[in-house]
Amino acid sequence: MLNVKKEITGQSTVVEFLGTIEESVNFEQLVGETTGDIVFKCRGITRINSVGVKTWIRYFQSLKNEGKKFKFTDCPQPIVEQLNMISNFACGGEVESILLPYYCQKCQKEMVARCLTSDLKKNDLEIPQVKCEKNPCDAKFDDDAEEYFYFLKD
Amino acid sequence: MGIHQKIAPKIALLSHQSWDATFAAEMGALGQSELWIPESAGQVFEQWDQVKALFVDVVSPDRVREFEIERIQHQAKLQREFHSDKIHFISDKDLAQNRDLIFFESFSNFFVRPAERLGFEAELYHQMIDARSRGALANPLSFLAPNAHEQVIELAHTADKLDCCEALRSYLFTANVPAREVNVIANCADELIMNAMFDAPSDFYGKPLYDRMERSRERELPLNERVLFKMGFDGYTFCMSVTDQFGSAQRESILNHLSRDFRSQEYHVDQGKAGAGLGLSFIHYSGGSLIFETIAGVSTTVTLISRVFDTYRDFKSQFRFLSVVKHGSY
Repeated sequence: MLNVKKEITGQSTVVEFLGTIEESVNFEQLVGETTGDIVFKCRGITRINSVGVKTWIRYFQSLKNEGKKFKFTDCPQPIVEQLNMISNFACGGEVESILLPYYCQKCQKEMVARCLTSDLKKNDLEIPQVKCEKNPCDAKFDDDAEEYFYFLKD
Repeated sequence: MGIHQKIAPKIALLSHQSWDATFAAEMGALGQSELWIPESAGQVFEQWDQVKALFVDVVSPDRVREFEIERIQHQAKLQREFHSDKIHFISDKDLAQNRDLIFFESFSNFFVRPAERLGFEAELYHQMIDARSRGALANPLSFLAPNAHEQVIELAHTADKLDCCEALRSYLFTANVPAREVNVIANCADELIMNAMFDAPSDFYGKPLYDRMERSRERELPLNERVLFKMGFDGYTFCMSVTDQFGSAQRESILNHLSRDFRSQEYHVDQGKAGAGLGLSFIHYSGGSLIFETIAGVSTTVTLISRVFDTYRDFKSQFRFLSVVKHGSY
């Protein structure tokens, strides 16, 4: 089940997604009318199934066809995986920022760090260092960098 | 020594790769079978009854084509049926880069050669070989430690799918499986159950009943459309299976969906179908080992075996195999 929070401020719309994107999701109904450029905050998406992907592409492709400008922020791992697996998943939208997964062996804790895609590109996709509360920290990027940043390569 | 001396089944190897030789020898040791390195595929087919498993290095599509021709020639000559269940292809490339393979009838079992020698996974693979050589169905519990508890759920309504996935997530979270791995496993369950509920049901002539029905439309499942979900976890390995009562899954269709690649080509929404056509490739690239077993007109069982790790990186790069087996004719 997906929950949507929407805020229209002046010339733009901010939409926040929270939950699972699956077959019961109807983006047209959940998002409704929008004004100006749209920012989709994706941090709260926990998983997306195959029919959810189809629904996603149908909705964002229609936004693109209507000439709307939109971008995605704080894309979590399930969305990054789709960006990497399906070449047209972003449907022309800008991916402004993504969440990078880390794991600290000392705390045995999963954590994420937000990163702008422009910064990653500027730094040749170098993985930023993060620190957890333990000192010395042992947090390491927890994915295959080659795969995780595949969609950012030209 | 009696007249009916039992001939120990052999593990045959058609490969010059040292990794393959080590692996085949290990499989032989686990099953107390002799390792046999024949000079040609023809030799293997001449003694097919004595072969428990044949490992073949996928050197190139041409080499596999030659292998396939040899198999067909022997099949015609000896008028004997070759069960591809015993043939195991090994490659350095994944299935999407080996698409030619899926058109060969001998294609049944496949895995990408890992960089290192297998540990625990070797035993797991041997379990699979054993089931294959006996023509038996995979039993989820056989892939788990003896203390593992199996849960069985019969799904009687399409809405049960999401409840089942949520229950699975809660169970794995409680078992301290990392969140990302939990979500991937739940997604695999979601896709497999959805396929069993919407893609498997077909009429007497094999025509799909619900392939155009919106997946969001809720309905109660009649007795013959109910889906059986089994799962077990022993603290290290998670295993689940999803069974439909139709046995309509076509080998070519399964392999085609598994090996689809949307990185190099765009995904286009097919308005004529309610499904996305993406589920199996998602599972194949993120889940774990997959076994498809179809008894034509009776049932299809898909089994997923995933080892859980502290890090997602290890989870994702774990050894995984694919096995597609058909019993009976479609």
